Amino acid sequence: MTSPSEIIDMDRLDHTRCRTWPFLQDFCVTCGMCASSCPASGIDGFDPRMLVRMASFGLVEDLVDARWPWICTMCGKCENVCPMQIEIPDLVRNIRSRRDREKVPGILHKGLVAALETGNNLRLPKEDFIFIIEDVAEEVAEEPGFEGFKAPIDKKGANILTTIHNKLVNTHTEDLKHWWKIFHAAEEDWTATSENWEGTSWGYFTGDDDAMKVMAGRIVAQMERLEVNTLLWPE
Amino acid sequence: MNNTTLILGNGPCAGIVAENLLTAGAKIIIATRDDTCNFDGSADTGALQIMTQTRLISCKGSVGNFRIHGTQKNKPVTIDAGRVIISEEDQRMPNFSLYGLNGSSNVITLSQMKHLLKDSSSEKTILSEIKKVVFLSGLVKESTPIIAKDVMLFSLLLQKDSNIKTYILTKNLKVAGDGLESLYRDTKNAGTIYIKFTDVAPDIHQNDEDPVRIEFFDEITSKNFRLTPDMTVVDESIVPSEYASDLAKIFDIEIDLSGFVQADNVHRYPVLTNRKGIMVAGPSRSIRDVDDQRIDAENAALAVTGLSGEETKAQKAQVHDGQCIRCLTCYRLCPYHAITLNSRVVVMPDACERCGICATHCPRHAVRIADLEPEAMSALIGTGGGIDKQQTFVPFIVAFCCRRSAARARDLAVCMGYHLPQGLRIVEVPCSGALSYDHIFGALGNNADGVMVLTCHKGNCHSEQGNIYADQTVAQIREMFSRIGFEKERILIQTLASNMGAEFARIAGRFEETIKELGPSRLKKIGLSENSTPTKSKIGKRK
Amino acid sequence: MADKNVLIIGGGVAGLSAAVELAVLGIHVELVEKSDFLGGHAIGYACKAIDNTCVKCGACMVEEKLQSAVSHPNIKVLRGCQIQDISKNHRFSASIRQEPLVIDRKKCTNCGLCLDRCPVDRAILQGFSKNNHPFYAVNKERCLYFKDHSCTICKDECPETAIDLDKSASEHTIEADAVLIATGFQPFNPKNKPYGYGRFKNVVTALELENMLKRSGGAKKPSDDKPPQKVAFIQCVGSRDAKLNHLWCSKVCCGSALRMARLVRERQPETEVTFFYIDVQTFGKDFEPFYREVREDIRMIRAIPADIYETEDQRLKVNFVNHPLHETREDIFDLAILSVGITPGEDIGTLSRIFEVDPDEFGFLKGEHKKMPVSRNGVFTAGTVQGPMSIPEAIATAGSAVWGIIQYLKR
Repeated sequence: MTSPSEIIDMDRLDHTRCRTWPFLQDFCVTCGMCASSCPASGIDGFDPRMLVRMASFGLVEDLVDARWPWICTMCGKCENVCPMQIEIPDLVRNIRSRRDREKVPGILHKGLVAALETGNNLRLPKEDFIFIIEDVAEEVAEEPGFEGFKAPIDKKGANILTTIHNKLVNTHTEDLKHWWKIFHAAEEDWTATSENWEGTSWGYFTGDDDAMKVMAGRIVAQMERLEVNTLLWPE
Repeated sequence: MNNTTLILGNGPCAGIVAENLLTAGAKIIIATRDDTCNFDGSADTGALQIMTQTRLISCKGSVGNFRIHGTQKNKPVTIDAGRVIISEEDQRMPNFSLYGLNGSSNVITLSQMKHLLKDSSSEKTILSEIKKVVFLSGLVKESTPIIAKDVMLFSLLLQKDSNIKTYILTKNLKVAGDGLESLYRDTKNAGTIYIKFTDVAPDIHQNDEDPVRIEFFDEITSKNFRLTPDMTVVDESIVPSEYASDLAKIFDIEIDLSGFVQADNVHRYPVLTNRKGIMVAGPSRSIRDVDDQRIDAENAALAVTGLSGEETKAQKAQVHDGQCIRCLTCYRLCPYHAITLNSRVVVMPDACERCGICATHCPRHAVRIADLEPEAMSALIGTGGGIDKQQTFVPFIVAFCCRRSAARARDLAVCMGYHLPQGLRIVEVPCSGALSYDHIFGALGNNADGVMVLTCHKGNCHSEQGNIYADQTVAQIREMFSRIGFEKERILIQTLASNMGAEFARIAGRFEETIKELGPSRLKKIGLSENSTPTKSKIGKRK
Repeated sequence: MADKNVLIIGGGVAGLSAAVELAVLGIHVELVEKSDFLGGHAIGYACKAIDNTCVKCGACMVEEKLQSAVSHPNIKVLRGCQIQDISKNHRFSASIRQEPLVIDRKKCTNCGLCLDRCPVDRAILQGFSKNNHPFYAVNKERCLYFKDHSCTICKDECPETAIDLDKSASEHTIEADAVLIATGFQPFNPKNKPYGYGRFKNVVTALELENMLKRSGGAKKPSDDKPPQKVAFIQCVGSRDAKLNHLWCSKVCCGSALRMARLVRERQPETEVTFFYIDVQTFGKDFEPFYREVREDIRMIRAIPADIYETEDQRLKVNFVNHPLHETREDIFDLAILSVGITPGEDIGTLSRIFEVDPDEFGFLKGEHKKMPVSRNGVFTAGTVQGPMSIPEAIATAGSAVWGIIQYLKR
């Protein structure tokens, strides 16, 4: 990590390190639109323009070791506005993927490991999950207009299979009701799954492509098992 | 009328001019200071004359009849030509001192790098030793697309062909040229690194023992870096050839602030000068890339073709021998070099553009343009204003308007629907330089309550100086008025362009308000009747 | 060469310039212009002189060329005309379609009553020069009569009965010995950029600001016609953009915007100006002193904003990274000016087909020597149809094309 007053010898840098990366970062004209659009710009020193340039320079260790590349929320606004079509979120992910997993900040990797091992970030057992869903569904059924409401789980042949954010069965169970009511009013034929219901794939944020593949694979397996053709994966 | 065109220059641009004119069947003379002429005149020698080792000394005459004196191989020579096209090459001055560097084996100019890249043997020797090249461009003075193109092209070649790491350090990257944005992208694809600075420049150190060391703060990463290139390439400033200022003096042609042989005045675009029949093309007139030079050459050829004695009915300036005392004021002031000195001082009608500067400055009223004389203009001024039906004072405002700018602006104002003051009278003049004290006093004598002098903007006057002189004249009149107790606010001078309709209306409206507040001019009560003609001023026109 | 006729397609500064050069040499010119007004885009540009000193933008040159063109006997102007097809034996034979010129130029006195009375915004257009005659034109895209015949107010109220809404289109043929394509450019339409153009009233293009300055002499907020307190210029909109395949610099926008910035500051000293850019391009011969002065006069930020949102009172929230700092700022402006790029004209496809001339990779009609006219056996180009260029450069390309035409006519 370089401190502000330190002078980096450019001779020591290998600018070709990232040239094989497919993110087009070398085409940057430093227009600043990415940084202008970024909602996290300036937080903890995060700056997508700076990140792109450091990759161009080959300052990979600085990027991997720094805290600030983890501020990015992956919203994608930068890529959307970039006139040179630089794939900045993927660049961020690539940098994140280069860190040792124990050094991944916060609970991101821990939650991911939990998901890989148990199917959800909270290590919530299957019975507990089903209990919570049914409990909240009963509350909905007590409301006028929603008599007989049931939240389908593992319904074969449904039209839509939806994943669930772990927050909804933990601290924000009330939020389940909003979209359930919409589905009910629309008479939509939907289902959740009792296993591998987790929608938040933290491998996306930690740059862990393999983990993402596993989690996506599990969801697809559920679709195949239940013979559902449409996936709703709000993430 | 001599139909031969004299072309000055020995570079590609002069060559294209020559080629074009010969193809069009014109007779040309190419004159160069150099020992040999690069133009391959294998065409009909009857139409082409080549003069080498030729330096020019003076040029007299006007379009169709230039007589140019010079030396060829140090012997006096005279060239008669109908037109002249100046197309000397420019030169590139290395910017070493701007960056605090001295040229050396590893600190070279762009031109030297170009040479290196062309020379295949150097690839194996000099370039094979080098791993890192830094280009310094536009870090102190802004660069141009021509230089930027060289910088990027050389960087691309070094990266692709020789696998050399290149850095381009610049402030604003100049990509305003055909293909430059694509070239920029190609260089990045090849691995070129760009460091762009905004307000602060890099620190550049050079001494005998160490290689060049460049330290800088990169604005995007907010980090400090050090570069120690094996070779540093310094950009160049493109400036007019040394001969250019000589030529400007010889031909009495205006130069711009950088010394190029053409005033920076839109009326001269693309290839004209203040002297009819003398054109300037290519690197002599400005920083021009290869394609632009070709366009200039063709425009010069076209200009030559078009100069076949256009007849105009308008009266030109004339010298009345009886009054002329050969003070040479008119000769010195004429922006078009239209006055010649033989045994008498004579105005060359083909060159005269009726700006009137000679007439307003002649201390003896010897040179005049008949229809622009104050008496003649008085008839155009007529009378106006007065008191309207509601008993309100309607100021009679005389506006002397340069025909190229203010008069057109007034037309546009009317078109756009702006209301102009009721008592406004427009008097068109070919140039505001034609306005003397007598014109303005004459208007006041014709019962004007206020006089506006509306000229072209500075730098936009066709005669380059006319508006400046008008400005001085009005300033002196205002000063005089304030000393004698007459309201100087009754005289206004303002610059305009032909497309400024809204501004014309605003200026006229505000002036009318001013005059309304001042009330009718007292000169009206001082016995100057409507029909009296102003007497010629006997006061010397000292400046 | 008095027996020769040249067809010029396009009445902008390049077309007008070329017409005058040809006419002066005794050659007859028929100049065909698509719209009701001559002068192209540039006739709508304002004089940007600052401190009574010309800044060499060339806008007055357009007026000068226009004046010469309309008064020269060798030049015949046909407005409202578009070329449909062309064939060639030893001469060119061009079939032209003329849209009805609803306002009769012989009768119209430019009184402006039609514009006054017209109930629809921008259904009657104004020209920019006294030499745009008539000064008014009916915009068939917005006029109610041309939609459903529901309004004839202008025709009824015109004191000279100069308006004939039922005039029909006509077709005819023009014979010519050579053709010059000078159809100009299209300004980039920024409606898909996240700046709210077309939705937020106070977001305008640089060309619209030019028009505003020309018509009224000052910058005004379209929302309430009052002078703005804080103005933002955003450069490179639609240029230097690989995503749009506009991989070029439009060359003239930096010069245009900076000159307008200084003009606004001079006319309205209380107004603050911010200039958002990537690289400032050089313009004119004396760029250094101008650049130095402008940097002291306005705030220049080397970053392009990504978003504009509107406030309740129609002011604009502009998000940008505060270069060289890393954090973003959201500043409130009253007026945002987008420097939109020069893009190929909308008729390039048609022209390309008719004349069998290939556009370059970006859609401009350029010849082998980049700026040389495309001289495909008597067909030449001039002006911004070739690519981005300034007014003086367009005039120069016109001269170059005329030279080529003359040599062609002589053989």
